[in-house]
Amino acid sequence: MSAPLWFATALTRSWAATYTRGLPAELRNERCDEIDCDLWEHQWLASRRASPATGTAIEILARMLVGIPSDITWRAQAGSPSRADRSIKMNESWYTRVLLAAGLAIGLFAVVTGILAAFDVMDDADGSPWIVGGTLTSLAGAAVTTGLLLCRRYPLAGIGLVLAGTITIAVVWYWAQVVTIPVGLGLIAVAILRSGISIWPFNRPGPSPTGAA
Amino acid sequence: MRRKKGTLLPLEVSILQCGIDLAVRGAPLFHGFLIAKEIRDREDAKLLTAHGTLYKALDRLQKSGLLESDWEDPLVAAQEGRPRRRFYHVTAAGKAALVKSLEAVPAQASQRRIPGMAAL
Repeated sequence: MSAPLWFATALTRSWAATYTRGLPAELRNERCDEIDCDLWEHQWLASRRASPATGTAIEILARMLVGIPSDITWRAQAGSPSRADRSIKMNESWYTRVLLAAGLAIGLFAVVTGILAAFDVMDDADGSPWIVGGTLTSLAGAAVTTGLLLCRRYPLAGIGLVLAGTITIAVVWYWAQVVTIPVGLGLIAVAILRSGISIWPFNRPGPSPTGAA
Repeated sequence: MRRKKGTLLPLEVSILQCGIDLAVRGAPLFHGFLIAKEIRDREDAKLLTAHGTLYKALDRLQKSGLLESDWEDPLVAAQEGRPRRRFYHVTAAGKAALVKSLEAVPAQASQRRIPGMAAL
Protein backbone atom coordinates (compact mmCIF):
# COMPACT_ATOMS: atom_id res chain seq x y z
CA MET A 1 0.00 0.00 0.00
CA SER A 2 1.32 3.44 -0.91
CA ALA A 3 2.07 5.98 1.80
CA PRO A 4 -0.77 8.42 0.87
CA LEU A 5 -3.28 5.56 0.83
CA TRP A 6 -2.01 4.22 4.12
CA PHE A 7 -2.26 7.70 5.64
CA ALA A 8 -5.80 8.29 4.31
CA THR A 9 -7.14 4.95 5.55
CA ALA A 10 -5.39 5.27 8.91
CA LEU A 11 -6.78 8.77 9.42
CA THR A 12 -10.28 7.67 8.47
CA ARG A 13 -10.13 4.70 10.84
CA SER A 14 -8.76 6.91 13.61
CA TRP A 15 -11.54 9.42 13.11
CA ALA A 16 -14.16 6.65 13.26
CA ALA A 17 -12.57 5.34 16.44
CA THR A 18 -12.61 8.86 17.88
CA TYR A 19 -16.22 9.78 17.25
CA THR A 20 -17.56 6.38 18.28
CA ARG A 21 -15.67 6.50 21.57
CA GLY A 22 -17.96 6.07 24.56
CA LEU A 23 -20.76 4.41 22.59
CA PRO A 24 -21.98 0.92 23.46
CA ALA A 25 -19.49 -1.64 22.13
CA GLU A 26 -21.91 -3.16 19.62
CA LEU A 27 -22.83 0.18 18.05
CA ARG A 28 -19.21 1.27 18.00
CA ASN A 29 -17.96 -1.95 16.42
CA GLU A 30 -20.69 -1.89 13.80
CA ARG A 31 -19.84 1.63 12.66
CA CYS A 32 -16.10 0.94 12.65
CA ASP A 33 -16.60 -2.35 10.76
CA GLU A 34 -18.76 -0.59 8.20
CA ILE A 35 -16.14 2.10 7.62
CA ASP A 36 -13.45 -0.58 7.44
CA CYS A 37 -15.44 -2.48 4.82
CA ASP A 38 -16.04 0.72 2.84
CA LEU A 39 -12.31 1.52 2.83
CA TRP A 40 -11.45 -2.01 1.71
CA GLU A 41 -14.01 -1.96 -1.12
CA HIS A 42 -12.82 1.49 -2.20
CA GLN A 43 -9.21 0.36 -2.41
CA TRP A 44 -10.15 -2.91 -4.09
CA LEU A 45 -12.11 -1.10 -6.80
CA ALA A 46 -9.31 1.42 -7.27
CA SER A 47 -6.72 -1.33 -7.68
CA ARG A 48 -8.98 -3.21 -10.09
CA ARG A 49 -9.32 -0.08 -12.21
CA ALA A 50 -5.61 0.67 -11.79
CA SER A 51 -6.48 4.12 -10.42
CA PRO A 52 -3.56 6.16 -9.06
CA ALA A 53 -3.06 5.60 -5.34
CA THR A 54 -2.75 9.31 -4.62
CA GLY A 55 -6.08 10.08 -6.27
CA THR A 56 -7.75 7.30 -4.27
CA ALA A 57 -6.16 8.61 -1.08
CA ILE A 58 -7.45 12.13 -1.77
CA GLU A 59 -10.90 10.75 -2.49
CA ILE A 60 -10.93 8.79 0.78
CA LEU A 61 -9.76 11.85 2.71
CA ALA A 62 -12.37 14.05 1.05
CA ARG A 63 -15.11 11.53 1.90
CA MET A 64 -13.99 11.51 5.50
CA LEU A 65 -13.68 15.29 5.79
CA VAL A 66 -16.98 16.11 4.11
CA GLY A 67 -18.72 13.59 6.34
CA ILE A 68 -17.38 14.99 9.62
CA PRO A 69 -20.43 17.19 10.37
CA SER A 70 -22.72 14.18 9.80
CA ASP A 71 -20.50 12.00 11.97
CA ILE A 72 -20.69 14.53 14.77
CA THR A 73 -24.47 14.88 14.59
CA TRP A 74 -24.87 11.10 14.30
CA ARG A 75 -22.69 10.72 17.37
CA ALA A 76 -24.75 13.27 19.26
CA GLN A 77 -27.95 11.41 18.39
CA ALA A 78 -26.50 7.97 19.03
CA GLY A 79 -26.20 8.57 22.72
CA SER A 80 -24.26 10.22 25.45
CA PRO A 81 -21.01 8.75 26.60
CA SER A 82 -21.37 6.56 29.60
CA ARG A 83 -18.61 8.38 31.39
CA ALA A 84 -18.33 12.04 32.18
CA ASP A 85 -16.23 12.69 29.11
CA ARG A 86 -18.60 14.58 26.90
CA SER A 87 -16.82 16.99 24.63
CA ILE A 88 -19.24 19.83 25.30
CA LYS A 89 -19.99 19.71 28.96
CA MET A 90 -23.06 21.44 30.20
CA ASN A 91 -21.15 22.77 33.17
CA GLU A 92 -18.97 24.86 30.89
CA SER A 93 -19.70 28.53 31.08
CA TRP A 94 -21.82 30.03 28.32
CA TYR A 95 -18.95 32.05 26.92
CA THR A 96 -16.73 28.97 26.70
CA ARG A 97 -19.47 27.23 24.75
CA VAL A 98 -19.89 30.24 22.44
CA LEU A 99 -16.13 30.36 21.86
CA LEU A 100 -16.08 26.61 21.22
CA ALA A 101 -18.94 26.89 18.73
CA ALA A 102 -17.11 29.72 16.93
CA GLY A 103 -13.89 27.68 16.90
CA LEU A 104 -15.66 24.63 15.50
CA ALA A 105 -17.28 26.79 12.83
CA ILE A 106 -13.86 28.13 11.82
CA GLY A 107 -12.42 24.62 11.73
CA LEU A 108 -15.25 23.32 9.55
CA PHE A 109 -14.95 26.39 7.34
CA ALA A 110 -11.30 25.49 6.74
CA VAL A 111 -12.30 21.91 5.93
CA VAL A 112 -14.85 22.99 3.34
CA THR A 113 -12.64 25.73 1.90
CA GLY A 114 -9.78 23.28 1.51
CA ILE A 115 -11.94 20.76 -0.31
CA LEU A 116 -13.36 23.41 -2.61
CA ALA A 117 -9.88 24.75 -3.34
CA ALA A 118 -8.56 21.28 -4.11
CA PHE A 119 -11.40 20.37 -6.41
CA ASP A 120 -11.47 23.70 -8.24
CA VAL A 121 -7.88 23.07 -9.15
CA MET A 122 -8.67 19.53 -10.20
CA ASP A 123 -11.01 20.98 -12.79
CA ASP A 124 -8.14 23.04 -14.20
CA ALA A 125 -6.02 19.91 -14.22
CA ASP A 126 -2.78 21.86 -14.18
CA GLY A 127 -2.52 23.33 -10.72
CA SER A 128 -1.26 20.47 -8.61
CA PRO A 129 0.05 22.77 -5.82
CA TRP A 130 -3.53 23.59 -4.91
CA ILE A 131 -4.46 19.98 -4.56
CA VAL A 132 -1.79 19.84 -1.91
CA GLY A 133 -2.78 23.22 -0.44
CA GLY A 134 -6.45 22.36 -0.38
CA THR A 135 -5.86 18.95 1.15
CA LEU A 136 -3.56 20.42 3.79
CA THR A 137 -6.13 23.10 4.60
CA SER A 138 -8.86 20.50 5.01
CA LEU A 139 -6.67 18.33 7.19
CA ALA A 140 -5.68 21.34 9.27
CA GLY A 141 -9.33 22.31 9.69
CA ALA A 142 -10.16 18.76 10.76
CA ALA A 143 -7.26 18.85 13.22
CA VAL A 144 -8.52 22.13 14.71
CA THR A 145 -12.08 20.80 15.00
CA THR A 146 -11.00 17.51 16.54
CA GLY A 147 -8.53 19.24 18.83
CA LEU A 148 -11.15 21.63 20.16
CA LEU A 149 -13.50 18.74 20.88
CA LEU A 150 -10.81 16.61 22.51
CA CYS A 151 -8.99 19.23 24.55
CA ARG A 152 -11.33 18.91 27.51
CA ARG A 153 -10.51 15.26 28.07
CA TYR A 154 -7.10 15.06 26.42
CA PRO A 155 -5.60 18.52 26.97
CA LEU A 156 -2.21 17.94 25.42
CA ALA A 157 -3.47 16.02 22.40
CA GLY A 158 -6.27 18.53 21.85
CA ILE A 159 -4.08 21.60 22.14
CA GLY A 160 -1.44 19.91 20.00
CA LEU A 161 -3.95 19.25 17.22
CA VAL A 162 -5.21 22.83 17.33
CA LEU A 163 -1.64 24.11 17.29
CA ALA A 164 -0.69 21.90 14.35
CA GLY A 165 -3.82 22.86 12.45
CA THR A 166 -3.45 26.60 12.93
CA ILE A 167 0.25 26.57 12.04
CA THR A 168 -0.47 24.57 8.90
CA ILE A 169 -3.17 27.00 7.80
CA ALA A 170 -0.90 29.97 8.51
CA VAL A 171 1.83 28.41 6.36
CA VAL A 172 -0.41 27.28 3.51
CA TRP A 173 -2.32 30.56 3.38
CA TYR A 174 0.83 32.60 4.00
CA TRP A 175 -0.46 35.65 2.14
CA ALA A 176 -3.38 35.89 4.57
CA GLN A 177 -1.36 35.82 7.78
CA VAL A 178 -2.92 39.08 8.92
CA VAL A 179 -6.05 37.01 9.41
CA THR A 180 -4.78 33.47 10.00
CA ILE A 181 -2.34 34.30 12.79
CA PRO A 182 -4.76 36.22 15.06
CA VAL A 183 -7.52 33.69 14.42
CA GLY A 184 -5.08 30.85 15.06
CA LEU A 185 -3.97 32.40 18.34
CA GLY A 186 -7.63 32.75 19.29
CA LEU A 187 -8.28 29.08 18.54
CA ILE A 188 -5.28 28.01 20.61
CA ALA A 189 -6.55 30.20 23.45
CA VAL A 190 -9.97 28.54 23.28
CA ALA A 191 -8.34 25.10 23.39
CA ILE A 192 -6.26 26.08 26.43
CA LEU A 193 -9.29 27.62 28.10
CA ARG A 194 -11.35 24.46 27.56
CA SER A 195 -8.57 22.16 28.67
CA GLY A 196 -8.44 23.75 32.11
CA ILE A 197 -4.64 23.75 32.03
CA SER A 198 -3.18 26.54 34.09
CA ILE A 199 -1.17 28.51 31.60
CA TRP A 200 -0.76 32.22 31.95
CA PRO A 201 -2.95 34.22 31.29
CA PHE A 202 -5.58 31.50 31.67
CA ASN A 203 -4.75 30.45 35.22
CA ARG A 204 -6.85 32.23 37.76
CA PRO A 205 -4.80 33.12 40.82
CA GLY A 206 -6.37 31.40 43.77
CA PRO A 207 -5.80 32.20 47.37
CA SER A 208 -2.33 31.42 48.49
CA PRO A 209 -2.12 28.49 50.93
CA THR A 210 -0.23 30.67 53.28
CA GLY A 211 -2.50 33.62 52.80
CA ALA A 212 0.37 35.65 51.42
CA ALA A 213 -0.13 37.72 48.27
CA MET B 1 -31.12 19.79 5.71
CA ARG B 2 -34.25 19.79 7.83
CA ARG B 3 -36.74 17.10 6.98
CA LYS B 4 -40.44 17.76 6.50
CA LYS B 5 -42.48 15.11 8.21
CA GLY B 6 -43.17 12.13 5.97
CA THR B 7 -40.76 13.20 3.24
CA LEU B 8 -37.43 11.82 2.16
CA LEU B 9 -34.22 13.76 1.81
CA PRO B 10 -32.62 13.74 -1.66
CA LEU B 11 -29.89 11.34 -0.52
CA GLU B 12 -32.47 8.98 0.94
CA VAL B 13 -34.38 9.03 -2.35
CA SER B 14 -31.14 8.23 -4.19
CA ILE B 15 -30.34 5.35 -1.85
CA LEU B 16 -33.78 3.82 -2.24
CA GLN B 17 -33.76 4.31 -6.01
CA CYS B 18 -30.34 2.74 -6.40
CA GLY B 19 -31.26 -0.11 -4.05
CA ILE B 20 -34.35 -0.91 -6.11
CA ASP B 21 -32.42 -0.57 -9.33
CA LEU B 22 -29.81 -3.02 -8.08
CA ALA B 23 -32.56 -5.45 -7.08
CA VAL B 24 -34.05 -5.26 -10.58
CA ARG B 25 -30.58 -6.04 -11.94
CA GLY B 26 -30.46 -9.15 -9.76
CA ALA B 27 -28.58 -7.81 -6.73
CA PRO B 28 -31.15 -7.12 -4.02
CA LEU B 29 -28.51 -6.82 -1.30
CA PHE B 30 -26.11 -3.91 -1.24
CA HIS B 31 -23.44 -2.61 1.09
CA GLY B 32 -22.46 0.98 1.82
CA PHE B 33 -19.67 1.40 -0.71
CA LEU B 34 -21.70 -0.25 -3.46
CA ILE B 35 -24.60 2.13 -2.99
CA ALA B 36 -22.22 5.11 -2.86
CA LYS B 37 -20.75 3.99 -6.19
CA GLU B 38 -24.20 3.51 -7.71
CA ILE B 39 -25.26 6.99 -6.61
CA ARG B 40 -22.10 8.52 -8.06
CA ASP B 41 -22.56 6.73 -11.37
CA ARG B 42 -26.25 7.61 -11.58
CA GLU B 43 -25.80 11.27 -10.72
CA ASP B 44 -22.53 11.61 -12.59
CA ALA B 45 -20.99 13.10 -9.46
CA LYS B 46 -17.28 13.68 -8.97
CA LEU B 47 -17.13 12.35 -5.45
CA LEU B 48 -18.57 9.33 -3.74
CA THR B 49 -20.99 10.21 -0.95
CA ALA B 50 -19.03 11.05 2.20
CA HIS B 51 -18.73 8.31 4.80
CA GLY B 52 -20.55 10.21 7.53
CA THR B 53 -23.36 11.39 5.27
CA LEU B 54 -23.89 7.95 3.75
CA TYR B 55 -23.87 5.83 6.89
CA LYS B 56 -25.97 8.32 8.80
CA ALA B 57 -28.59 8.20 6.02
CA LEU B 58 -28.49 4.38 5.94
CA ASP B 59 -28.93 4.32 9.71
CA ARG B 60 -31.86 6.72 9.47
CA LEU B 61 -33.57 4.72 6.72
CA GLN B 62 -33.12 1.54 8.68
CA LYS B 63 -34.59 3.06 11.83
CA SER B 64 -37.55 4.26 9.75
CA GLY B 65 -38.12 0.70 8.50
CA LEU B 66 -37.37 1.62 4.88
CA LEU B 67 -34.25 -0.53 4.81
CA GLU B 68 -33.27 -3.71 6.61
CA SER B 69 -29.76 -4.96 7.12
CA ASP B 70 -27.88 -8.11 8.03
CA TRP B 71 -24.22 -8.65 8.68
CA GLU B 72 -22.44 -11.08 6.44
CA ASP B 73 -21.17 -14.33 7.90
CA PRO B 74 -17.65 -13.45 9.12
CA LEU B 75 -16.36 -16.79 7.85
CA VAL B 76 -17.32 -15.93 4.28
CA ALA B 77 -15.56 -12.59 4.55
CA ALA B 78 -12.50 -14.22 6.12
CA GLN B 79 -12.31 -16.78 3.34
CA GLU B 80 -12.29 -13.97 0.79
CA GLY B 81 -9.73 -12.02 2.82
CA ARG B 82 -11.78 -8.88 3.38
CA PRO B 83 -13.80 -7.23 6.18
CA ARG B 84 -17.37 -8.43 6.67
CA ARG B 85 -20.05 -6.52 4.80
CA ARG B 86 -23.30 -5.17 6.11
CA PHE B 87 -25.92 -5.97 3.50
CA TYR B 88 -28.97 -3.74 3.17
CA HIS B 89 -32.15 -4.27 1.21
CA VAL B 90 -35.10 -2.01 0.52
CA THR B 91 -38.26 -3.06 2.35
CA ALA B 92 -41.82 -2.86 1.04
CA ALA B 93 -42.26 0.24 3.20
CA GLY B 94 -39.15 1.70 1.55
CA LYS B 95 -40.58 1.12 -1.93
CA ALA B 96 -43.89 2.69 -0.90
CA ALA B 97 -42.12 5.68 0.65
CA LEU B 98 -40.11 6.19 -2.53
CA VAL B 99 -43.20 6.07 -4.73
CA LYS B 100 -44.96 8.51 -2.43
CA SER B 101 -41.96 10.81 -2.40
CA LEU B 102 -41.65 10.82 -6.18
CA GLU B 103 -45.37 11.36 -6.66
CA ALA B 104 -45.16 14.37 -4.37
CA VAL B 105 -42.70 16.01 -6.74
CA PRO B 106 -43.89 15.02 -10.24
CA ALA B 107 -41.35 17.09 -12.12
CA GLN B 108 -38.43 15.64 -10.23
CA ALA B 109 -39.98 12.20 -10.41
CA SER B 110 -40.01 12.21 -14.16
CA GLN B 111 -36.32 13.06 -14.15
CA ARG B 112 -35.53 10.45 -11.58
CA ARG B 113 -37.44 7.56 -13.14
CA ILE B 114 -35.38 4.49 -13.11
CA PRO B 115 -35.81 1.09 -14.71
CA GLY B 116 -36.70 -0.47 -11.40
CA MET B 117 -39.57 1.90 -10.80
CA ALA B 118 -41.76 0.03 -13.25
CA ALA B 119 -41.49 -2.99 -11.00
CA LEU B 120 -42.93 -1.15 -7.99
